[in-house]
Amino acid sequence: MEFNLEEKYVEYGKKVRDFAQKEFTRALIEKCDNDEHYPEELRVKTYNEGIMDFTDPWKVLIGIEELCSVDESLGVAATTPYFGVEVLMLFGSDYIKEKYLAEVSKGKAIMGLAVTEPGGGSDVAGLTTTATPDGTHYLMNGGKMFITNGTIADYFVLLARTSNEEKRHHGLSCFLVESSWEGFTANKLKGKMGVRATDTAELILSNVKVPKENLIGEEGKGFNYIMTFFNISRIYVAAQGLGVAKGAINKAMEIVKAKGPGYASQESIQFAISEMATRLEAARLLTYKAATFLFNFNPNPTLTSMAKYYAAETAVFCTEKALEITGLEGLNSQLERFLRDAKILEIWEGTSEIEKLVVARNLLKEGKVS
Amino acid sequence: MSNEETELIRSSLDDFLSRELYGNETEIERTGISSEFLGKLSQQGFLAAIVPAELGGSGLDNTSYRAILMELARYSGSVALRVLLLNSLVYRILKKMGKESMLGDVLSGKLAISIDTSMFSSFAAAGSEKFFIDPGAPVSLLMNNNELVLASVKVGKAGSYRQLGFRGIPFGNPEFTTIEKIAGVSDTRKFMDELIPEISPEIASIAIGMAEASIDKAREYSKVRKAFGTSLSSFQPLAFPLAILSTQLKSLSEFLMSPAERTDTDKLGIKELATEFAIVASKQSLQTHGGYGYIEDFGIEKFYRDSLALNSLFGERVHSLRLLAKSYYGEEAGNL
Ligand SMILES: Cc1cc2nc3c(=O)[nH]c(=O)nc-3n(C[C@H](O)[C@H](O)[C@H](O)COP(=O)(O)OP(=O)(O)OC[C@H]3O[C@@H](n4cnc5c(N)ncnc54)[C@H](O)[C@@H]3O)c2cc1C
Repeated sequence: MEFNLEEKYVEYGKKVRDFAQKEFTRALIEKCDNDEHYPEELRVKTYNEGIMDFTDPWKVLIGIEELCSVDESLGVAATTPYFGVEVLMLFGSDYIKEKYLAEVSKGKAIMGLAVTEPGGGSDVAGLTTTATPDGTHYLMNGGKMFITNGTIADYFVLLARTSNEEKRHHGLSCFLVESSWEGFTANKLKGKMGVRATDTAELILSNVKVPKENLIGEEGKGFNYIMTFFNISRIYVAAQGLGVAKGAINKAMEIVKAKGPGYASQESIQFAISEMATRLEAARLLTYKAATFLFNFNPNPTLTSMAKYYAAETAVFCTEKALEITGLEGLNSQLERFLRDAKILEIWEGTSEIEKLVVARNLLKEGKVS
Repeated sequence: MSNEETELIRSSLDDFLSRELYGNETEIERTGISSEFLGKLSQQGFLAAIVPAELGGSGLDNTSYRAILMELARYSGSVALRVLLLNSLVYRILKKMGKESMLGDVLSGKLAISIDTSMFSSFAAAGSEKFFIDPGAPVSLLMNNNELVLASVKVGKAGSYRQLGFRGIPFGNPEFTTIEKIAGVSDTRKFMDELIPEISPEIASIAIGMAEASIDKAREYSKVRKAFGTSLSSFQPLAFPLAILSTQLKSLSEFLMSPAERTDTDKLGIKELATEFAIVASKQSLQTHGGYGYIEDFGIEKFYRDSLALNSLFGERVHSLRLLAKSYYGEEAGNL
């Protein structure tokens, strides 16, 4: 068993960390956080400097962890322009790949993935946005909620209902929708607790004409495509959690040391540091194990969901503890932002509750743990 | 004061707050507490709640005061903290300094006093930035060479922070161009260590008020919001924690509202329990609200932020735990 990352990944991690430390300036972080500003210039730089190397998923994972250890909000903003591309890669037709994926891969277009609706996000099969066949098109009507990149994305992978089946999820299909189309409106949602550099919006679809060739894969298979996507993206959310936890622990230790040896030697402070670091290590092992299965084309949804919820909870645990042991200095440092950013990890791309249900249902089906 | 009397205070206060504050809580977080609303709080006697009547205050007992803090915190942690700062801190410190003559102006909201939060810190990091409440005020309670002093100050730049919590109250890093000492507390450390147990149940009251509002909101939401064709309240991972939290809340609240004289151990202990509880309860409420819980306009996430800020605002937790252990053992304990 080999626990050390290959040298090329260690070097890649360093490259990304150096990039984040240089580009995530205090001024940029604060501007984005205060004004809920999306850092378009940073997105372009991240692309131009090859920071997200999609030819190697390990690099993506390590890159996300490193970026988020400096600042989750900017880290996510810089890496989500590609949100949803895996659906196109795995299930898109040649037409979709050539027309859309190529643009996104060249850094010329931004993507988003729209599943959640005002009425619910956990119950994916309960969604009500409809896509009704109409000659050469589908007519799409409905609304989506909390959609990342909502007002800045050019293209969305959008899940809609194409038929009413006895099993609700059999009636769902995925589409590639362009934001420039008539009937498509995006309203920016302001006032998020954290990840304020990311753009979040409500989408309204009013008789949007979606050409039939923009159906992704087969009609009625959309639910499966999205679940397959989540089994990939949840690994990257876990990586966001690892980054936040690492950044919080490092900052907390810096403050604890600055408070003097008399403070750093308090055993309760030392216990808190041990507990945070242990959880991070456990979360990382779990995430890397789930990633190993996935990247070897043998995804293990149980491990993926374990990693996603555990890394998210670890990020929240570590940011809370970090604040607790750093007192006023912590309140008055980037730790407060780390904490606000961390909480979203327990909500997006499957809440912790939903992840736990996935884990338990899979395990009960198998009847044993490994 | 009996339970019925406390309930009476809380329900009449609730009437006032639902009239004057309900619906404006988010605005307070964005733009601060207006002087008009401060005036109303002053008229109600809240700003001088524990100040004796002969000094122009309301002369309320501890239980009534805690009930007020709790009720205010249900709506706005910022408003509750403002009332706590004036009563629990400024009043007690000015009294200690023999400066009661200033109370009239301060407690009516006419004279603002900035507060150097490092007075609570026992392990301040060398060279760390200052963290003042109301940094632009012309008078300040600040730490000067380990002494707590009252000073008349001229502020060059008040500075400001994007705060984790209590955003209705300004925090900043003021640059003082002049500091003229008016009075001081000679044995500051000892005074602060005696003040901490006094103020602890009051901090706990704010924590409990915020926890109560969080739990109530989560309960309401989980009854009306549906997922998988049923209300969220059907799901054990949401319903069980909320039900347990509500029982914990009741016991903590009854402990706080009891007129029984409490030892320092109990006072310090209830603060630890209540502040930690508020974090757990507000986090559970946020989670129950899903994505909506993460958006400021829904008024849920602020309780989580405020609870965490409350946990750090009054000094290092390890220091109050050391005071707690010492009080519990009756001798130096928990010091390593
Ligand atoms: C900043 C932000 C960005 C987002 N970005 C995107 C995006 O790009 N694309 C997108 O599609 N969505 C996005 N989301 C939405 C996110 O995925 C949903 O918020 C999340 O899935 C939860 O859905 P909900 O908010 O509707 O909560 P609900 O589904 O209403 O759930 C509320 C609570 O009930 C719990 N719950 C639900 N069912 C059960 C059950 N059976 N058992 C136990 N507990 C249960 C949930 O865990 C949660 O705690 C984003 C959200 C936010 C806040």
